[in-house]
Amino acid sequence: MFESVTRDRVRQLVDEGAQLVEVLEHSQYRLAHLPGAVHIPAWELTRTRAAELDRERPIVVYCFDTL
Amino acid sequence: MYDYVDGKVDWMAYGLPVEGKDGPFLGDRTAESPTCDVTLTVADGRRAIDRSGADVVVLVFSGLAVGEVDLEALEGRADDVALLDVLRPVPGTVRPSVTVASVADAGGGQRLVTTSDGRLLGEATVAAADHHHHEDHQGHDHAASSVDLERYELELNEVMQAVKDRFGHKEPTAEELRAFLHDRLVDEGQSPEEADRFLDGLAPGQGD
Repeated sequence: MFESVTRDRVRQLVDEGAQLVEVLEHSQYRLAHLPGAVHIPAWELTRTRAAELDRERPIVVYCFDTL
Repeated sequence: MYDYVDGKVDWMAYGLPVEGKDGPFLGDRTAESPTCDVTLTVADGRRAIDRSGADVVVLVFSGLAVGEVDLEALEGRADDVALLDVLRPVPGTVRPSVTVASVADAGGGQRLVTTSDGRLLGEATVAAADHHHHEDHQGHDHAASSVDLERYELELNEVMQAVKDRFGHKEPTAEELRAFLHDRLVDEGQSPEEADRFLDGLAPGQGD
């Protein structure tokens, strides 16, 4: 379901119109997030919140790091 | 669906732009530093230093910072000696995602800024004054927190209406009220810990 991607691939996907989703907690998102990223905390990744995203465009989900 | 597994840390360590209220970051303060290709000679090194007007040039190989050299190190060396033979290893580098305040806290100074894979972005100088800036920055954050508090107090009026709707004429206990407010804050995007901190700040006798 998920395809792992690198930084360069993320940039390419964003250029192609991808949506970025940060799944960290609110305070982390507020301090710094990737340009244009929307905030959906991991514990809120429900069908309702997912409906806010455009299914026709690629979606890139990211966290803090690989851990 | 794609998973950027290296995440935000990787993005910021590479000096790519971010949005948000943290910072300023070292990447915002980074200026181009004079460089010379490490495969060249002492004569080239001298010319690079003369041209730049700086005391030191960073030696690079394919964009990666590998060392540095100054006039003193070149003194007495034949023109055709390879820079590779006279360089001193590049000092510790820092990522552009490091905040200026944290460098100021660590004593400031001039730092070479590279991406996470060693590509030279330039150099940044953090002065002692930046510590004051850091304090100012925290002051702004404090002001922002006050604004947040006012906003929450306004929202609280709405919440109290919701409390009336929820509990009717029965006055809720302090525990019931806190649990209700906590759930509402979490529903609005606060983490449970943030909601707790906020509610702690509203408790009578605190925050004076």
